[in-house]
Amino acid sequence: MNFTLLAQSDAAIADASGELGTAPYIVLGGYLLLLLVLGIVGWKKSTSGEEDYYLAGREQGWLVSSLTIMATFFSSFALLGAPGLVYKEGVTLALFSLNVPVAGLSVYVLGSRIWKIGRKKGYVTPGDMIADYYGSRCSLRFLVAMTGVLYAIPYVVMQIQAGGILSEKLFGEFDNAFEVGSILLAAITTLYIMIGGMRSVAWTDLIQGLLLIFGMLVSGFAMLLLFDGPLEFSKRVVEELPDSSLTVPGSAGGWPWTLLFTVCVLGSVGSMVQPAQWMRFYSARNVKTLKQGAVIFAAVLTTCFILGVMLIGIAGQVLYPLKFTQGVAMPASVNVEIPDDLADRLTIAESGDGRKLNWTWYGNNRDFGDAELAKLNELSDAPEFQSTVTELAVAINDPGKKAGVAPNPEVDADITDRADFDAILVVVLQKQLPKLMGGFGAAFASLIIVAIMAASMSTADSNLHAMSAVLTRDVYDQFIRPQATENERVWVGRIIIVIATVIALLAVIFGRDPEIAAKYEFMNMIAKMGLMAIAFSAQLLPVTIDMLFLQKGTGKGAAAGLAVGLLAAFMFGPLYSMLIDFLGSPAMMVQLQSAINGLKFTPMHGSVWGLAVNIPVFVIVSLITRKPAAEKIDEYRKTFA
Amino acid sequence: MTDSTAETLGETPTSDSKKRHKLGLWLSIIFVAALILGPGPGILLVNSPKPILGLPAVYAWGLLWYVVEVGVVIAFYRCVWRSDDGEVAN
Repeated sequence: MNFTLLAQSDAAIADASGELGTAPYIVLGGYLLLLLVLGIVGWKKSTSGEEDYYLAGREQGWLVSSLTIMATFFSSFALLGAPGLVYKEGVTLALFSLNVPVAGLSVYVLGSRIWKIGRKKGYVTPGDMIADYYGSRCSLRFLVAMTGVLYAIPYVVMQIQAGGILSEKLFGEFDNAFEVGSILLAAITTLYIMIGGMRSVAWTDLIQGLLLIFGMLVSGFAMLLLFDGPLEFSKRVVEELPDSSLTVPGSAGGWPWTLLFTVCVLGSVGSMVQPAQWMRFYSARNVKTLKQGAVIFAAVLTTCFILGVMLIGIAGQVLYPLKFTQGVAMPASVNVEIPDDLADRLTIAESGDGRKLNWTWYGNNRDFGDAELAKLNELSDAPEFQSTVTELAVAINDPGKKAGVAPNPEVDADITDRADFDAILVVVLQKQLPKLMGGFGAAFASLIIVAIMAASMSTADSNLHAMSAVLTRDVYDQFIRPQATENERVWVGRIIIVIATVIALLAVIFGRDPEIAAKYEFMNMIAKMGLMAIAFSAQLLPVTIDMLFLQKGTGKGAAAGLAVGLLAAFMFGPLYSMLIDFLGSPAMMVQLQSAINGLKFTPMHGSVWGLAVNIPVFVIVSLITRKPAAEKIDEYRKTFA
Repeated sequence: MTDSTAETLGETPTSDSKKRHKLGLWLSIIFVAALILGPGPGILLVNSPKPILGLPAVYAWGLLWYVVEVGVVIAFYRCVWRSDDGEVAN
């Protein structure tokens, strides 16, 4: 006999009256109007030509450069994905913030050299530099372009998805709020990139970057206020969260240190060599700008993360406890009775047969006092039923037992279709800030919600803009119409932006299908999709490091390494499973997948598997093929000296 | 750590920058150590639900390495990275 034991938490009786009134409409409307104005001003200031459209004339100062690099790096991943991940996995994931200083360091270390050679040679895309250095006109340039596309599409998808989540939570009373929100975000972003190019993107990034910093810091500060200060906040977290939420590998057991470490090291650097950031290095006014950008990035954004938005996820676990499920072996027949005084907090549901008892409870330790735990232990004569709820929480970490977590219904009412952990920030703001600060709370919450919108748009615009540059210069100009004029290429770039946006929108709407959402978890968790995208861009690291620092590799080595790296990142990532399903599960592909799964001896970021083949292939092929021209190597070395 | 590693982290060894070069090496070592100890295997040293100074142990550990990592980047900015390389010869 199967039982589900459901303990109602405080969240179930939480005050759901927190309403933001008309504030979000006014603030959102004003913000979107401002973006369009900036698009038009950017257009009026622009001159014709690719260098202006894609790099804003290479004249961005330290403030614009810093904020556009920050805004491109921080997306809905920062304001929805990261708190969602902390909400799902617990305090451990706050250490994810430690990837930010690594990225900050990369802004100067990689950025300054990319800027120097880019300025000297007039490069616009990463492919320009890589193909020129290695003397490879076709294969390498095409592979670099594909890397950019493989990174950009999932990143744009998750930004549009964030617009949908926001809209759904704010305007849920309207039909198709998710779809309308997604389409609006995509349409406005596309419009101002098309009108103003890099200048508009950078100016809007400036506004969006400031909003982002404000939103991240204020949301964390609000959590401390909500819990009557940092000491009380910390006390409640320690006392109330299950042990699994306070330790590695996290509440759902999904984040051992190997994964955390590889994400912090490779994920951060990988996202700094993606085309949009690379082009931001080109567009800086000078190296000093990048130096200042690096330190602002590392100091300000890490603080925003670890002392700001991460607190939302932690507070979320206290306010809206997760639902834990734990299978426990049971005798065939168990007699369970619920005492009257617990009946209002517990429900028993029967289903199925077999010898397994499925526990489900809303999981903070405070939900059960000692007396209640004792009563729970008396519920059955069966010895296997003698576990306390606290012990079960610890047992979650036992890899021999299958466990799972789901968001509290207060956070995600529709938990049967898709586990929407990413909504935690919006829910906390929507329900808690007005209670805490009244009218001011509604205004603050609205501004932070606009900051989320800003985070999404600033990354979507950068990636769409970079992707249009990459496909136009590295594919259209090289393989389709080499005789195209600059003006024609700019227009082709605009058309690419529209096509890419439509593809991303379709992926978002396709991913909403309950069956797909249940099958492919990465489609409905922003953080997972972001990490998947970075696994592709990280494959540019060996080439980048060789070109900027070592000058030992060859064009054929770079192309071979990049090709196998991308293939491995694809096959070790979630997209390969999707492809197998799409092709009707051919036996050979399924067997290959089993073999690949056997190689994953421990969870690590997807980039590791790609780099594990990319680097050796790059080195070996470089040893047996011809190096770039000596003059080219000398030119690079002199530029960096 | 070699010269090229130091260069990787932003220092260019010139005749007038030996001191800066040495500092860059030390900062690089500290930064790598902070990465290994913070989000890396070092986290297992504090992997307990028991609090440290009233904070969840893992979070307190993260705060410590946050201060170290950001401090190292600021030190690089102030003492190691060159400020006279703002232009490049064409």
